[in-house]
Parts: sequence; structure tokens; C-alpha cells
Amino acid sequence: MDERKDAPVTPAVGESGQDAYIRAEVEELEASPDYDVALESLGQWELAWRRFRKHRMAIVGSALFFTMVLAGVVGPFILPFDLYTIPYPDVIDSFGRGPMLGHPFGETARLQWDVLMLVVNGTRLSLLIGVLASIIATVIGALVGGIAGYFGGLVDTILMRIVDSLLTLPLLFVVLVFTKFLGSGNWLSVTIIFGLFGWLGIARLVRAILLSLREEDYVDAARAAGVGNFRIIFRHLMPNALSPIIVATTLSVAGVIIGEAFVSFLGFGVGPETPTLGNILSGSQDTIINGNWWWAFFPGAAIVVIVLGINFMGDGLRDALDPRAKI
Amino acid sequence: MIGFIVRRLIGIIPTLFFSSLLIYSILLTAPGGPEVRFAQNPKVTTAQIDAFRARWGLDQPIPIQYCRWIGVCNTRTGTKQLADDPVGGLASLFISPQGVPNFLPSGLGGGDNGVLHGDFGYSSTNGQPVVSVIGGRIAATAILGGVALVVWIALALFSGVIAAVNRYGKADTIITIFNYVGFSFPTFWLGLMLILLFAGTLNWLPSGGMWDVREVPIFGTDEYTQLLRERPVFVLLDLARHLVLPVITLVFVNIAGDSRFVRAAMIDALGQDYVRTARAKGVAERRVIVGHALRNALLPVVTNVALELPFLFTGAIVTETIFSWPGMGRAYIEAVSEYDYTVLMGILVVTALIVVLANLLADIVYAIVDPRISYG
Repeated sequence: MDERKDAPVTPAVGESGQDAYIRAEVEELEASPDYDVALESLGQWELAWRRFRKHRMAIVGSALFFTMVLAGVVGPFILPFDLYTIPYPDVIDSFGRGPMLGHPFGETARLQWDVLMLVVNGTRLSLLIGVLASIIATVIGALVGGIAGYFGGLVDTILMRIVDSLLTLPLLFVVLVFTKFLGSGNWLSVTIIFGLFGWLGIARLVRAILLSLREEDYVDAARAAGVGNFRIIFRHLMPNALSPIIVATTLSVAGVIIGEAFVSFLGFGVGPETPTLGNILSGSQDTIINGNWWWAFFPGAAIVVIVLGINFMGDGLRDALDPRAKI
Repeated sequence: MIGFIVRRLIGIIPTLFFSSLLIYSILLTAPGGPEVRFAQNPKVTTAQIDAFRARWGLDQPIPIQYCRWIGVCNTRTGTKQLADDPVGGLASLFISPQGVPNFLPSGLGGGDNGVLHGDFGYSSTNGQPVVSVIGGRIAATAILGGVALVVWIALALFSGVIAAVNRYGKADTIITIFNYVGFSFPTFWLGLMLILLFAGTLNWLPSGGMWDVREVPIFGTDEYTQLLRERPVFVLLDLARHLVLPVITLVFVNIAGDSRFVRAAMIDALGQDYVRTARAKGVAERRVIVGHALRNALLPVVTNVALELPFLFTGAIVTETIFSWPGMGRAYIEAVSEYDYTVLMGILVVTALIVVLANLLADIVYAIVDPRISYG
């Protein structure tokens, strides 16, 4: 901009010097990316979407993630095999068969399930568990963190003391015990257990944000107008904390998917009658040393693709939702 | 400084108390209870089960059971005495046989039962004291975790510094992508793939275990120590061969966060005035990076590493299961599948203690390495 100002503006025919200067300035301002934004007066979500679109990794990540979602939703219906008929009831193959025409991901050992069929079904359930558990965790975390951050003082001390104590126990240790003792192989109870123990991080995040936000003038204004505490927390403060919460929830989906996969891989999580990306793998460890790689490889690769997609997406969201970021 | 540490030590007491309550309540969710393993045995009568419950105090109210497990109550009094004399009976629960409060160390006349006195009870599957079950496993976990930690820190520092110095360059991009991919790997699957490649297809390394069962006696036994003394190179090489795959697994998945952290800290430090001053004085670039920037970037990194120490134990659950490493993580999995309450509680208490102490360590180290922090 400074360069332009210094450069002499050549007036067009019949134009005064001042007009020429104004024309040059206006042309330059119109050319700047912020101009469109101001003209259309885009809302914060439209702005965020514009920033997100420009984030290359975020787009790649979203593509990966939504491809897997599509595979999980549509896949079970278009594949010619299903979960309820054992493919070869008379044969028990101790090794399985590798990828081939008709079974691109091969067949498992023993009952010889089609691995592709298991992967799409597992993808569907793993995604469902990841999303549901993360939503449960976010709701609890926002509630606890919101109350602790807004009220502060003794309430805050007690709630955060509980969070600290829960954090001394590694999540995986606790979830293992609960899924084994209470989960009974049911995917919904496993989901709830992950949700009930996954809120600690989000609670800390929301608390930290609200602790700073509650000193803002608009909170005082709302209080002076007689707005109730919970309305202030959830209508006035929480929308301002929404961006980091969205990012944290997105990333937590990835964490739950990996955690559930591990717990189910050990045989303590979701039962084999409802395949998830983890419990498909649980039988594969015995045959892997003999060279049956496809059984373990494809479900695990599906996890990596989903989680990588989510992590890229979360990163893009973090940048896109930051109001200080430029387009 | 001493005052600061003492204050922090007092501060962890309520946290540990809540943790112990949590651990106890978690184990209460288990179906059946410790006598559940007799349910399948037709030879065990109801009377015998009742006697078992009375013998181990399982017929007592849950608060009293907790109080005894933690070591604040003694184990003498039965329910009958409590019913006869509620006030005196209840109070006598907290008094040790020597007549002083039970929670005091046994040297001072306190009781000798409960977690506070280092008594975690007996494993309900094999009757061994929990302390020796955990003690036998903790060395294996410490070896795996220790080696992984050294490799992990070294690689995180190296890759983080390289990425920061070549910010937005090729090396930075490659390291960033590598970190993202590593971060997205499920640990157990990476372990399986490594076994498939290096133990299965290439047959270079063992697929699991901590020693070669054909050549080396069981780890921790006197025979093992003796062989270690006679042929140290052979035993240590054998151990190293078994360490390679689990360490790669632990490091690959966990390094991403630290590497990014070092990168951010280094970029921050490289932008400081003292770096420009050093460069202006003509200090060699290598010396600027290592001697000036890295030294200051290490402050946040050290704290971060201290906070991550407990992850070595969580990570151990996964790696030890995949690679049949005889450590605490595997002991935990075995205890979960066999409903071995006492061992589970023991491991959870030890883990909680490690987490709390690691947090404390992080604070102290930070206060020591950063002279700007006051201990206020």
C-alpha cells in the first residue's frame, strides 16, 4: 500500500489530481480480500468457513474423514456379504486367504469373514461410538467447567479437586475396568463409559476460558439486568467459548476411537457380534506371525485414516475459528 | 524452596485421598466381589463362603472396609462389638493395638494394615502379597519405560530443533507430517505391524518377551542375576534385542507432541533479542542454536517431560500386552481379566502416586531451572 501511495497517480483526461488519488485508493481497497467480507458483512461462521477452505491439510483431512463416514454408512448395504451368514459353514481355515478378486481385503482365518465387510461395519460402529462418546463428554465437561469457571471460589476448588483426582488415574486403566465389569460387550454401554470418563480435559478448558470471560463488562451488564446465573453461563458466556470447545470435541473423537479400539482389541470392550475396528483385530494377533497380514492391516489402516483425518480437520478448525486470524 | 516443596506435598494429600476413594469405588462396581470365584465350585458351601467373608472383613459396612484398606482403621473389631457399644466400638476402630491412632507408622505404635503402611493385601488369584506381585513387575516396566524415555527425549529434541531451525522448510514439513502420522497411529496396531515385519517376514527380532527362554533364565530370579554377572554382554544384548520393537512402538506414537512442543519453544527462543545479539557478535550459528536458544527452550520442555512420565506407565499397558513384556501393564490386564481386586487396587494406587509425584516434580524442576519463578 505504501508503495502505491508513493507512486505518482496519473490523472485520467478531465480528472483532477484529487479525484485520481481517490480513485486509486478505492481501487486498491476494493482489491484487498477484506473488502468483500466487509461488503457482504459475513457472519463469524462464514468467515471461519472461508479460512477453513484455504487450509489445505484441513480439506485433505475432511476428505479422508468423510470418505470413511461414507464407507461406513453406505458400505454395509452395498457389499454382497453380511455379518449374519457364516461364509463357509463347513470349512475352518486356520490361515485365511489373502486379498484377491472379489475379496480385495482378503478373508480372516478360522471363520473366513470377508475383511472388507468387517472393516466397513467396524468403521460405522467405531465412528458412532467416537462421536456419541465425545458429545456426552463435551456436555458434561461444559457443565462442570462452566459452573466451576463462572462461580469460582469454593465451588471451583471442589470441582477442580475432583477433576485433579480423576486425572491421577490414567483414563485407559479406569475405562478397562469399567468396560470389563459393566460393559458386558454392549457397544452402547462402552460408549457411555468412554463419555463418562472423557470430560476432564474439556472441563478444564471451559473453566479456564470462563474464568477470564466472567470479568467482561457484558457479564456485569447481564447480571445488572437480572439475568440468572445459568442463563449467563449458557447463553452469554458459552457461545464465546464455543470455538475451542468445537476443536477439543473434534479431537476427542479421534481419542475415543483409538481407546475403544484398544479396549475391544483386548476383548474387554465391545463384543464380537457387533464389529468395531478394534475387536476385528482381536483374533488377528495369533495368525500374524505366520504371515496373515491382511487381517490386521486393513482394520488398523482404517483407524489411521480416520484419526489422521480428524486430527487434520481439528487443526484446520483451530485456525479457522480463531477470530484473530486473517483470511 | 523447602517451604515451597512442603506446601506442595501437603497439597497432594487431598488429591491422593480423593484418588483412593475413587479407586475403591471403581472396584466396588465389579460384579460379585472377591468370593465370586467360589460360586462355580459345587464343593464350597454357603457357610464356607460366609466364613470367608467374615475372615477377610467383607461382611463389614463398606466405609469400614475402605477405612481398613487405607489403614486408618485397624482390623480387630467385629460387627458384634460395634453393635454392643456403638460409640466406644467405633472409636476403637481407629486405635491401634498399641493404643495410638492406627494411621501412624507402625514404628510409632500405629497399625501395620492398609495402604498407608504399605500393606496392599494378597492377590485373590494366587495368594501372593500384592506388594511382591507389583514389585516383581515394576523393574521390567522401568527398564522398558526408561529406555523409551531416553530415546524419546533425544529424538524429540533433535527433530524439534531441526524443524524450528528450518521453519517452513523441507525438513520442517517432513518432520511435521511424520509427527501427524505418528500421532494418529493406534499403539497396539503399530506393534502388530512391527511384529509382522521384523519378527514375521524378516525374522530379525523376537516377536515378544523380555528374554530368550531357551538361553536365559526368568528375569528377576537369582539365576538371571548370576548369568548377568557371568556373561553380561550376552544377557544385555539379548535384552536389547527384545527391547527394540517395544521401544520403537512407545517412541513413535508418543514423540509427536513433544517434538511439536520443542519446535514451538525453539521458534520462540530463536526470535528473542539475545539470539540476535549473539549472532551480531559473530557467534557461530551452531553455538547460537545449541548454547543460546536451546538452553532457554529447554525450560518448558523439561516441565512437559516431567508431566509426561506417567504416560510411560499408561503406554506400557498397550506395549506390554502386544509384546508380552512381563511388566506392570500386563499385570494390570491379567488382574482385570481375572477379577483380581487387590492387585488392581494396588497398581492403581501406585500409578496415582506416580502421577501426583510427577506433577510435583514438574513444579519443582520448573522452579529450579527458571530463576524468574518465585516459590511464593
